[in-house]
Amino acid sequence: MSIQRTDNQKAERKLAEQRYDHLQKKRLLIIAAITISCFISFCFDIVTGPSSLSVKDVFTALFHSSSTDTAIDVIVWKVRMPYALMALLTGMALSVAGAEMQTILNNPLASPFTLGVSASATFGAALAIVLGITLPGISANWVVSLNAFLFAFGSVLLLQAFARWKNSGVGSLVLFGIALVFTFNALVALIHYIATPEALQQVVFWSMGSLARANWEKIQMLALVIVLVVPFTMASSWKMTALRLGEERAAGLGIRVNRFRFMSLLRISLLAATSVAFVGTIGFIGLVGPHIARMLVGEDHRYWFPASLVTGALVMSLASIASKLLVPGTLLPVGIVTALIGVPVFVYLIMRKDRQS
Amino acid sequence: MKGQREVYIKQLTAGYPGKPGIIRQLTTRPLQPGMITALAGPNAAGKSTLLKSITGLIPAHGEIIMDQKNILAFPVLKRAKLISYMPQYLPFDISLSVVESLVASLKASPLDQISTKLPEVKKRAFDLLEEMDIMHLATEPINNLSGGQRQLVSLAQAIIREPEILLLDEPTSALDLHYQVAVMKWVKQYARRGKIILIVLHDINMALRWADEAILLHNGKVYRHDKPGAVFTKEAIREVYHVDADIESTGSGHLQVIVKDQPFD
Ligand SMILES: Nc1ncnc2c1ncn2[C@@H]1O[C@H](COP(=O)(O)OP(=O)(O)O)[C@@H](O)[C@H]1O
Ligand SMILES: [Mg+2]
Repeated sequence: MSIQRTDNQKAERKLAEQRYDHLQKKRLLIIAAITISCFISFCFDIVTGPSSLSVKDVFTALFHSSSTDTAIDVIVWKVRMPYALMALLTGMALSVAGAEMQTILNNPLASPFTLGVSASATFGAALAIVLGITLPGISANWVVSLNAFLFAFGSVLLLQAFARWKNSGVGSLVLFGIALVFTFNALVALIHYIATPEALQQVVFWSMGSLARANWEKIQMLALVIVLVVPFTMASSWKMTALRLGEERAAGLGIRVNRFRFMSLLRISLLAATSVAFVGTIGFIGLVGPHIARMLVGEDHRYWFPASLVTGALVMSLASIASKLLVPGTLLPVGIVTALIGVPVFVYLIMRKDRQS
Repeated sequence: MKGQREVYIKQLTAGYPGKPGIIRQLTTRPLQPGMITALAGPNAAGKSTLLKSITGLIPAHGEIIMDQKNILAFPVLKRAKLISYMPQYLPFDISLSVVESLVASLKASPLDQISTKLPEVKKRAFDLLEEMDIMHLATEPINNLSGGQRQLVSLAQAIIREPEILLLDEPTSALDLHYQVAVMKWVKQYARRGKIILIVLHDINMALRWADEAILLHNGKVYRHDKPGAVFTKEAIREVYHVDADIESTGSGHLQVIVKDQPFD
């Protein structure tokens, strides 16, 4: 009888272990599949555009650039490629920033856009342009991003202070974030009045959120920030997962939660601000990317972070394609497309939260 | 050697910003390894606050002595290695499976992270599920668990690091009779490995049935700290809980609190 039970137990354990291993493998496969989809979407993104190039033209331009005529070369390398790459990179940056924010603030509605981090970064960037701030020896792009970062960081500190002060009511934090969005949007509108026409054009472009001004320098800078920041994000995976089990639990494990949070907020600001500085306010990617990733791989952050990264890139890349196709002959600002995708998800999440509490 | 690993609390004061002194100058007798000490007291007596201050989640003054050293002065990591705390309230809406949560509970600790490899951690997680007889929950998403099952998983998360001092905040409050008994048996077994266990029990009868000693907390102080039978007397229950009750001995020799018929006014 007791031996029978032990045998049963052994069998049950074996089965459970197999299920667990299977689950882990499945998660890796899902991430791989999304990554491949990203690549495919990226190719489509390059192929689509107002000047109709054939797929063959594009591929010749990509891989044997010397043999094609220069007009196609220019379109592919100077316009399409930067546009498509920038879509991937901003998708990555915003989505990872959103994922980190959701865990750190313990709020699935958190993202750089919904809580006003993007808006404050936009304001910072606009301010730098309008005031014409320059730093000797540093390119204007960097100065603008730096100021965007400073404002983004200020706003996440504010958000964190609010979350701690109100003891993290999910709803009230979101409302506070929306208040930040309104405030900074109003401030940006104010800047419209004092800006010179040239500066105004640039500032308006931010408020729209568009990939149209992507260039290789910006791509390099954003890629650099991602490459520098995301490894730290990944290294924090275990602690982030533990934080999901409750702040008390995490602190009990010996994690210095405050310091840990602060470092995360720093990463969030860097990622969000750099992308905002280059492409303007593109909404909801930081909400939608992590959300889809969570449904696919769960919240073991070892999988969830990379999954958010590639999902964000994929959604953004698809949005970029859609921005060229939705209204034939017109290139929509990509921010409009992401809002069309994002708002329903946002509303759905709010309703789900309501049902739970 | 005897008495070496015992822990006692001396003049401990702890509270929250704006609410200092929830725990006031609290002193206990030594808590012996291998023994279960029940912590009881009315709502808001400060039971959770006491456990949190021992864990180091909230600042505290005074002394918690073990091996002639003050645990309060330990660096965060050393203290975390020694003590594990199971919170009273468990977060909800977590997309993790049970095993994943256990593995993370071990791997996230700055201490264990360095020393323990993933396959070893995984093995420990499954060993624990086996010991606690909840293997069937292994790959269940935590979100799908019942309140009682969550509590079991939370207990597992606290125990997986095999702490010397285990602090449990009402671990049985959502459990049915079967799992109440299962958990208390399990805790007893863990205690017998020479661990120190302080467990908040709302149900005085459970304290009488399972604990080796009991601390009755009242207004942030120890009202009485003794064998459970000596702590939960008629007088103590009247004074601390404002309830008239009889203490009766069951056929099997255990004590039980029977609340008297209360007059309505
Ligand atoms: N985070 C907190 N901030 C401020 N006061 C708190 C906090 N947690 C508990 N308290 C207060 O401390 C007192 C004791 O609470 P607690 O230790 O949770 O009681 P118990 O666990 O014995 O029911 C209560 O008056 C409660 O309002
Ligand atoms: Mg309590």
